[in-house]
Amino acid sequence: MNRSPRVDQILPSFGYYDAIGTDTRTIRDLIRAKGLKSDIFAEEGVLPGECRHLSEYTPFATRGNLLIHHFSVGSLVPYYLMGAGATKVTRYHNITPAKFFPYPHTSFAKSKCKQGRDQLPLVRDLSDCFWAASQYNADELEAHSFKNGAVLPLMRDYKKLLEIEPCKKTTEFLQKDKRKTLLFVGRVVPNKAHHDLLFLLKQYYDFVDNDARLICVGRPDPYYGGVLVKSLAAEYGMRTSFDKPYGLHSDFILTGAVNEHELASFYQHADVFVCLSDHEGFCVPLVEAMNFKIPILAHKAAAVPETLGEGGLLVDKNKPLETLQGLTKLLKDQDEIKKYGYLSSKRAKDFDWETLEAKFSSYLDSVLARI
Amino acid sequence: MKDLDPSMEQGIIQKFREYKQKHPEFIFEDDPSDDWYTEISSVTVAKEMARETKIYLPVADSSHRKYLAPFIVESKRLLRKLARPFLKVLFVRQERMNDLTVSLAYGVASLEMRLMKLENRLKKEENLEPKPQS
Repeated sequence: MNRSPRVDQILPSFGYYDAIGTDTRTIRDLIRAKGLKSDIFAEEGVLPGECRHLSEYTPFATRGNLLIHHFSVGSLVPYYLMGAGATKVTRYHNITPAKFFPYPHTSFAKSKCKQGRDQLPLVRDLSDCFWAASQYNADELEAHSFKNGAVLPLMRDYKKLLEIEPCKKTTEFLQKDKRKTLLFVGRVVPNKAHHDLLFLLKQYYDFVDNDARLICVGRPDPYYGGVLVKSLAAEYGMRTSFDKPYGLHSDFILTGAVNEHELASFYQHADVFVCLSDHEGFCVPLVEAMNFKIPILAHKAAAVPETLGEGGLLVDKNKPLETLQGLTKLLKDQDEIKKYGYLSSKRAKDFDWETLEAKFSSYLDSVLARI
Repeated sequence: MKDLDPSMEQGIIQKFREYKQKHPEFIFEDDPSDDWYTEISSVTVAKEMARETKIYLPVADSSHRKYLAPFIVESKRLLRKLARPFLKVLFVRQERMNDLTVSLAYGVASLEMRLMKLENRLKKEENLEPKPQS
């Protein structure tokens, strides 16, 4: 008897709003729209109606079904996969190198990342094909002898954020200070290099002008974000604001977690999006910033150049003068602001929902045909 | 507004060097001696920190440290060295998949999860203990 296959997704930890969580939900909705049954299973982050516990996956782990394994950190999931007879696709989001967790407080995160790298050969043996979030990720997998791969950017409708009504309070606050706004969005963790952002701002104040402030949106890691970054800002003598209500004349604002209305406000009022990350597997905020037509300045590191493409100004990490000149250009030179705003919005079209949806459908169909 | 002159390059590069020297905590380099398996133990980390900072830490004498911690470490070692390779051979190399072997795999995974939870509980208890006055 022929029956339509189930296409389920499995991941270590499900976060409703985070990049992987949104990717997972979007994929599930697309699969359901095709008339196939689909659910999300995770070890942590069970959410009624959205995500079921891993142990509930057992009845569906049979041949004839498809299982998408989101791989971004070491976990017990690969051992569960060993017992699953379903065809397996590895959705690789990249694993943050363990060197970015040097502090004793982060030894657990470090062990998880190391475990993830250790599990790569096991996952390779188990998976039938892979979908990497970027070519950078795909190259990494191919170096580990993974086969049958394709590049599929993180799935989400990036334009949806444009339709969300901005938060009135945040907008009012942002409008009160007439200085230019440098924005970065992402968790405050060592690999996102918030310390380099502060150094850049300090250099801008010392050598160029003081008409700018830095706003970092994202949940801080307790030690790096909660202690090191804050003490660096204090060392530079910056006026800081780490809690709501934000200080009106703050040079450096660390917002913590925000909702999507607040996030839309921050994007709307940003003058430059600055991404100095040392490691990114894809970098969703870059594409969000492109949709808001914000000029982008970024370091050439990991998957950032690939995601950014021609849509922004790329600078070398070890050339501080180049970075500062780039920032000055994007804040002061009207022609450059217009040019990079246009390039940014042009690049955003490469991540259109229709393009992503068509890509995903073709990849899914080709895998389903092989079951 | 001050002009951004290329001659400032030396000044900025100098500042960049100073910043890197002053803040080694922001330099991230691979350490080949890292081993995630030993890193996970907070006892190891505490000992390392004590050695580096020369702070006296009391010798572990409570029963959970004496018996339970070595039990966790040994069990995890056995799972890692024996159970996982054994299951891998069964499933991947020999493709022997039946109810018994699948439930064995789930058993191994859940045992590992329980051990991890137990280890986290021990770590929490350790952190709650009063620190010695130096």
